Amino acid sequence: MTLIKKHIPLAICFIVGILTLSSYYVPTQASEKYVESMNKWENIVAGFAFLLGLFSLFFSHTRKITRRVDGWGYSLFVFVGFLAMVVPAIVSNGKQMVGADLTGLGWGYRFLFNALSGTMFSVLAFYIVSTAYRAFRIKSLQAGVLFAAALVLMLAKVPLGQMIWETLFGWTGGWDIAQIGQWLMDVPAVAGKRGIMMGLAIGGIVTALKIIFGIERQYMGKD
Amino acid sequence: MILTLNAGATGLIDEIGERIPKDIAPTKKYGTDYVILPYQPNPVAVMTQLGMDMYQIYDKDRDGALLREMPVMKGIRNVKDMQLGMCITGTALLDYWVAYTADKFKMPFAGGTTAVSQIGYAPYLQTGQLKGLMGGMKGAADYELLIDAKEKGTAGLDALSLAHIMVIGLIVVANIMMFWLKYL
Repeated sequence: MTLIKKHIPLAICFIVGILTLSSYYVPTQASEKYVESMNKWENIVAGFAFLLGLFSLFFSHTRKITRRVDGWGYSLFVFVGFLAMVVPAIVSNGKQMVGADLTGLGWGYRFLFNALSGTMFSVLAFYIVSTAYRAFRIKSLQAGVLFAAALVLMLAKVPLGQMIWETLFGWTGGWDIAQIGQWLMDVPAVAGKRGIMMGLAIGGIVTALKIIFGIERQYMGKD
Repeated sequence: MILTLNAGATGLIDEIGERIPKDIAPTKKYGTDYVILPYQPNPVAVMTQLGMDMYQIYDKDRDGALLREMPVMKGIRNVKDMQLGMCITGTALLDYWVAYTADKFKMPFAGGTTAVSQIGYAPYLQTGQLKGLMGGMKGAADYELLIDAKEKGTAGLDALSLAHIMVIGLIVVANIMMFWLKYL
């Protein structure tokens, strides 16, 4: 049993991991063929993963509805939303337009999906204001610097902000808000971002090596 | 070649496909000047494959027509035969395009992202891994101004300006109130 549940999966992971890694750095015809077949397989598996995710989502929400757990009514909308898009998609054969007319899918996408996505994104604005205030409470020197940088960037990003800056500080001559904003983005922000990216990359490499060499085995489950 | 790797954006691609012959580029002919590819579920696999033999993963367009037989695909085997790639996204897909396609296969690449994500791509711009970047609505408006085709990006600048000024105003007022309550 250990052979099937432990050693074979570890061996597959090791062989496929090493082959994929070396095919990235050794571009030969054979490695290209290997990556091509892996890509096809990945796409097939991803397609089935969609289906698996869908069933899992349905089971989870069906359980919520049958057990009448808190907020079970929202689970109904999972099915309503799913049917509202999938049934028209099947009926209209996946097409949004037939000639100049919108199909059911096209109507659903334009007037349901787009409108709801826009609403969700708009609601974020209120959270952003509340979060921004908490982040920019000037309680210390560091918070003051953060607020000043954010203020400059926000003003630099919109024409009205640039006009306000020009009216207030235009007399100083060389202090253009757009240039100051750009400097903030190009120098301190990029330095921080580079640090984060390098950290992430090193972390990614270490995790990948741990998985390839069987040190990290969480993907195999608990048994 | 127009394609999406985001399942939720297939409708957007359809809208673009519908608008190209109407008002975006009425002189361009489908199949000769441009082609729209179907959605594929696994972004990394698609991006890697586009650098090798792209017909292994995209053999037909979204309507089921054979891609190899289209005039627009003449002489095209992979992204190395293309002059520029561009990713317009509100997700992190641009990172993947840079890592798996642009860098690996030496394809010139540009992007369009939300204003929030723009800062994250500045290192790529400085190293030349991205040839250009449109950041948020202002970036879109700047681009519209550049190509002299003012549209939604330019139209949205008023609202964007007012929203920014409102946020700044609210933060300043809230800080003044905090100082008032604390020290006065």
